[in-house]
Amino acid sequence: MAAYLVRRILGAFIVLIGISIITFIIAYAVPGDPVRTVVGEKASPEVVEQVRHTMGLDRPVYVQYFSYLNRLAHGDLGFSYYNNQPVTHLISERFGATAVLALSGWAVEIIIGIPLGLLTAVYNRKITDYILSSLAIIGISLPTFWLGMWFIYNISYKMGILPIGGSGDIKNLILPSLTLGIVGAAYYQRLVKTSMLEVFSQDYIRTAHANGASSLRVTFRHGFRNGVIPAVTYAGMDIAFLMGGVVITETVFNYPGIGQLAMQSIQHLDVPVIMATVLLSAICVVVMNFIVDILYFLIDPRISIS
Amino acid sequence: MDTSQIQTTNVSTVNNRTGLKSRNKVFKVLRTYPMILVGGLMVFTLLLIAIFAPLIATHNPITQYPTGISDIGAPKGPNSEFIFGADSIGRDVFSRVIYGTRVSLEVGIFASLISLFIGVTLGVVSGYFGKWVDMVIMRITDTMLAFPFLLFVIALVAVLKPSITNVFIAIGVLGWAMMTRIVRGEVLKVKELEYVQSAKALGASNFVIIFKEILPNVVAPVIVMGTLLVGQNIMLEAALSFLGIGIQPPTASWGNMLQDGMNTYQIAPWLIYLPGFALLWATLGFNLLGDGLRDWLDPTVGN
Amino acid sequence: MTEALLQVKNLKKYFPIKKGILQQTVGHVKAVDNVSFTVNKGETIGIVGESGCGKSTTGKTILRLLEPTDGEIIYKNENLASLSASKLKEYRKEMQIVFQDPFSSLNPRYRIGRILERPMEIHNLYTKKERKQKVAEILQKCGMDPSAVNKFPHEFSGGQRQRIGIARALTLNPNLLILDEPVSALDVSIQSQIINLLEDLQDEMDLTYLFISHDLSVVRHISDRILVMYLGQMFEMSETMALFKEPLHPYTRALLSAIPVHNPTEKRERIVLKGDLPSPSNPPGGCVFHTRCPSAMDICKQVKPDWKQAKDGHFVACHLY
Repeated sequence: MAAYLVRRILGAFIVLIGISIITFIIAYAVPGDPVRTVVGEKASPEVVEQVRHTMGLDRPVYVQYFSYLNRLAHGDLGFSYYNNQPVTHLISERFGATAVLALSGWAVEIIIGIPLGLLTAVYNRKITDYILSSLAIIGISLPTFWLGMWFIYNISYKMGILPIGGSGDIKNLILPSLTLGIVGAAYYQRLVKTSMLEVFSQDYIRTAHANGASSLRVTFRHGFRNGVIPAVTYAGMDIAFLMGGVVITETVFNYPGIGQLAMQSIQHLDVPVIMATVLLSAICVVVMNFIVDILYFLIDPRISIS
Repeated sequence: MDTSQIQTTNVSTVNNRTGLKSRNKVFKVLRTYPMILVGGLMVFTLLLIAIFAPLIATHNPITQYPTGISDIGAPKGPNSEFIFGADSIGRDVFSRVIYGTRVSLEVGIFASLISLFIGVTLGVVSGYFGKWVDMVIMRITDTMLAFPFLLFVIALVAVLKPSITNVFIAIGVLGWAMMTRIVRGEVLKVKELEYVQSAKALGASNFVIIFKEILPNVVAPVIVMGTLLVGQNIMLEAALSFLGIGIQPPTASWGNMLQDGMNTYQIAPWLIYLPGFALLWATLGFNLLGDGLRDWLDPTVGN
Repeated sequence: MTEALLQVKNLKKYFPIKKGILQQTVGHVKAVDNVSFTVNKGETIGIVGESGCGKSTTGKTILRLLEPTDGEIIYKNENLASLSASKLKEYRKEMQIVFQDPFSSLNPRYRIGRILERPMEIHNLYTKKERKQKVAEILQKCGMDPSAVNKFPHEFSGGQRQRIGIARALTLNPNLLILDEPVSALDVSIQSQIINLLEDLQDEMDLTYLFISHDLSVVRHISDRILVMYLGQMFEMSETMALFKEPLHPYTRALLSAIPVHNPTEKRERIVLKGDLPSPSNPPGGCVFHTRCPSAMDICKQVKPDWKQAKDGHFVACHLY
């Protein structure tokens, strides 16, 4: 256990370092001079040089990287010149809203995806399966932003049931989380279906059937627990998907979260903010995967050792 | 010894009608895996539309027609001149969607080819050579997979400045990690098979073993992944263009058409019907084709 | 008269066992431990033992499919164990291997013609036309119709595939063939066909065989001499006749007693070994067999028996002799 834990932490740590290197490289490669952004086009060369020096941009690349790493370690994500605020401040302001949206999107995925997976597995190769599986693959193929606009047009604009955008009320959350969740639900459906079918073909399930247990009972007593475990693991990977989906959903619904912040920063090429959002979401993914792995290990030590 | 000769002749008589057999086989595959048929047809129509775009389009996709705008300055809905309506500055929606097919396929296919090339190369090297090479490549792959892909691509495109080339380069260069993982897994399986051992015993070099013995046997999952990747990348391009950092107007792309529609669709909903439908058609087509191919070629892949 | 073709001297193949955070090596599986024997030109040596006894590893290590940990493999006055990859390629032509599983030993993506031409391609031998001719010849020799070249492996049965596997090993005209359980995956009825084919080919092409099998009754048929292995070590080696007539090592006796008797009037006592095969990563001290040996003595737990000649040409590693 201890050895596994240490190795897993080491692995996650290496990935985190990798993430910091990649974000640093992308930020470093930004065309245009960050000093100019600060001092403006009209500043004299002496002023430019002096600011460059105080910003540490005249030092070798690796020194800059280590000071970047050092700042990260101290929770300093840089300064947004566009917003004239520390990035940490900007992000912490909006983090809660995004977390709520991502969580409710995830809930939608689970609520739709897992029952759909169970149904398609139980009725495998029957008409119910064909219809639901077709719906699921259409769901995967739906463009999030189109779906979002469709919701807004039909439900908010034409029917006037729910608000068009914004945040603050649970009503504001319904359409964005549906948009986010419907597209992702199909992944859970597939995972649950595949693993349930595998479980069904196991001898102990056949034995249960042969012993006269009813179909539904067998499904839930034996199948569910084993069939749903892979779906739980996927939740870790899913964070990556949700964080990406959030950018579009928040933009479409004008929802004030990190995704919207990222989009605004991109429009103004506010590099520190862009990189901070990328970095933070990647860290979220690593941490989630780590937690899932550890939980997994605690549930069933056999699985993770290999 | 006798029995084996009898078997051999039997097999050869059966196979004399190879031509007939292979045609029957195609029908059989399509009947057993209807997803390949449906997806394949959907993709095929896209290819036709992209190739014959100038013949199909009724208007010039970037010309702003004064007749497309009403007297009060709003875009005109579907009418006899603009069958799917005009956009906010009087361009023909139908023709733009037709030309947008070209952009989508171009980005989708080229980006996927880049990912495929990087992914297969790293996957093979990692799986075949193992040891520290494998460890380094897999750590990089893990790192790449940790980034939320859309956000990652957005960041890179923003930095590179949006253009068709930069969009597919960014998507392609960042999107190889899943492919690497799958190819590596396949190589690990194939590597231990006895025909690879046999090639080694015959004195074949690593190069020969990789290209002649291993690669042909990882083609199936690569085709499946590649097909699915094209669909994903078409969607990604549309998302980037929708967010305003992909294909820039006046070049027509389904994504930037939807962006244009986002501001005015309450009064002009036709702006989002056709481009959205085209996008759904494309991603659905590639997803169906990819899933069908997976069921047919390799039931074990896929997660 | 007898001329040594291959000499294996103190061959060792250890696989490291890795553990812990930094994957440090904490021990070794001694898959092949100090194996020495000489193969004479034209003879067949059978290597037998239970699965996991290191017989296949021995075969693969001789061909350098696995890198030997220590020891010498002398062939034509050259130590193959320390040869560079490029020089090794030359010797690859002269020794070939036939694998156990006829379903994974042929690349499913190629027609038989391609599969059989590949070895000559690798070594840049002959022109295209000559290669095709060679392939047809060799297929016929192996009892296959030359029309097989246009077919894919999946169109053949296991026995036919094994013939193709043998044909591939023979395309380069080797001297030595390592047969790694060549009939274990086949039906009993097909097994004898393949064994007969191998015997015919041996006469015809002047081949020397190293026949690896877990089945003594199969080895008996074809081998001139037999080597019995257990947990990576040599237990007994002798002429086939002598071994069957008078097995010396208790382990060999147990193996022999497990062979079904053809003659129902012949009475033989079945020796059943107690216990399981010990883990090769942690073999017992002294004689590795003492945990299961019906005749174990005190000394067996302490001292590893030497390899000694008990009778003329009959070697054994056991404290009983």
